[in-house]
Amino acid sequence: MTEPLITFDGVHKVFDGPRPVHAVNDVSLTINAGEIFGVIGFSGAGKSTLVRLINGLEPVTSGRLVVDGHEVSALTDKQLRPLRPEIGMIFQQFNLFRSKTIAENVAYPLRLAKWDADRRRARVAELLAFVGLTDKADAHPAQLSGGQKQRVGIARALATSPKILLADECTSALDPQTTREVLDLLRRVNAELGVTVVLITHEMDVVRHLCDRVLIMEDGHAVEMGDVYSIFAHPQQPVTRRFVSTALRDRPSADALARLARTHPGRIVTVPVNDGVDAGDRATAFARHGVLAQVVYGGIVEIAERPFGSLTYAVSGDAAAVDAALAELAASGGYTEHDLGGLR
Amino acid sequence: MKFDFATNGHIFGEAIATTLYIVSMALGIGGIVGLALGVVLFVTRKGGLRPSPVAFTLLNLVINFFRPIPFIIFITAVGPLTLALIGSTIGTNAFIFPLAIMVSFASARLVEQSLVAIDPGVIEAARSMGASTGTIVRTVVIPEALAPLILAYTYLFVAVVDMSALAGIVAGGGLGAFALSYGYQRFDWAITWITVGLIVVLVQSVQFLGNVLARKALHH
Repeated sequence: MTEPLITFDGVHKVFDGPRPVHAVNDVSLTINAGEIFGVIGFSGAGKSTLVRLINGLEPVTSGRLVVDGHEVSALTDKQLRPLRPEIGMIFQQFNLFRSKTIAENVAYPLRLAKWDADRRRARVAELLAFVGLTDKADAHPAQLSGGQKQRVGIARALATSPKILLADECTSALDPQTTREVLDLLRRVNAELGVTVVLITHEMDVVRHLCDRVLIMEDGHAVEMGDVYSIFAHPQQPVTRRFVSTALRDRPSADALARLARTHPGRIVTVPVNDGVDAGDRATAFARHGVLAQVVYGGIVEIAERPFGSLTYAVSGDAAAVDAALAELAASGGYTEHDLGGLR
Repeated sequence: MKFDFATNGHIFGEAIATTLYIVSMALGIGGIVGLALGVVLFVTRKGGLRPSPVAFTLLNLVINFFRPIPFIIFITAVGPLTLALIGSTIGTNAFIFPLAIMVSFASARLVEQSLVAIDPGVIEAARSMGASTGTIVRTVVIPEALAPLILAYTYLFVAVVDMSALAGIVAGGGLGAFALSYGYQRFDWAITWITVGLIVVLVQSVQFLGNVLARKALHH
């Protein structure tokens, strides 16, 4: 599980032109076999370019890139072609061949690999069954919904049993419900077939649902990388904090706080919830000190199958008892008290 | 003297056959050469599958050089080449030669326009699976652009029927020459109109067929 499958070593990608674009700037990292690795960044951060270096759709400008033992950065496009069946790719706009049926789309990489017709038919049936689209074999892409198209894209990308699947904003054109279905399918691809997934997205929710580790990119730089739980729990860079805040809306905004201050008496504190602290302990801590603590805001989500978030309480009662309850919280995981000066 | 179909009907029949021969030869040869040239333009253009500014600019220049020459002047201008290759500057084949050249350049442009309209994403998808440039052109680019290509060649057919009417100026025969000799020059309006009617029916039928095939190729 921990041997590096993809190694970037000081990799640069510059697009020439009147105004050269340094799309990937000195990136060094390793992606392990069997993991789901996320790459997140805003538009133009270089994340799409980064994954296109892996299968050589874009050549590396300088630096060393090794994929599954092959030094991709030293190979020509022609030399890269035989390696590409080892690396599947799916796309934001699905990129299905509109002139071909669903079965023909999935069979296309097998034709390239010169499989005979019988083997192709069997493999296509197996793949369509895996993505749940057996009944659509003879349909054309135009007759399918977005989610179905992406499932065909996944089936096509998996046809040649690749070790790596590159997913380029594969849910960005889909609604939330369909996004979940596609992400669940990608999880099956990873868990059941052992395929290493490199997933680009600009949605932190996608990272939260699916990824083991995540890289945050900004202006071509790899600014932060780590396992998803620690990135959520301890974001270091401003851009990372912005992404984390888009997926966690557990803390009240200034406006919400002002409304809470008007409608609730007492002090308002936010208490983090993670797998180190049990939310239940908090409630009993308040109860033990005989103070009234009412949950007025908050959210807890699951990240990498571990709880994460915070709860905001309006705490009222005897001033000394409140102090004692808060002191207990401070000792057991901390809390943040909101300054209500001027709000009441 | 009016045209007598009973005794001279075969002249009319020959004119029809000649026109069909000219159109199919010019469209067949010029269409295939043009398809190849159009693919070269598409592949070598900036951001294409095999960008080559030299090849693209050169071919572009050649096409742009020939395209604006009025066809009737072009026929006479390439006379020496026609003589060298066909052996004569008069007759049906001497007419087909310059026509096929013009059709090549015209269809190269039409093919290029049809191909640039296809979604670059499907080409990227084929590349990501390891397809070579030739395979992508054959199995992705042409099939994905089939409907606009059919419409482009249908349009070209109409243009070639139009140009084929000039065959008479090098004694190439055909419906144009027939309408002029037996209709215009003999004040036989009916003959002119019959010829016109026949050409309209021919063009309309081919256009209808092209539309049907293009719709079938769209898969929407």
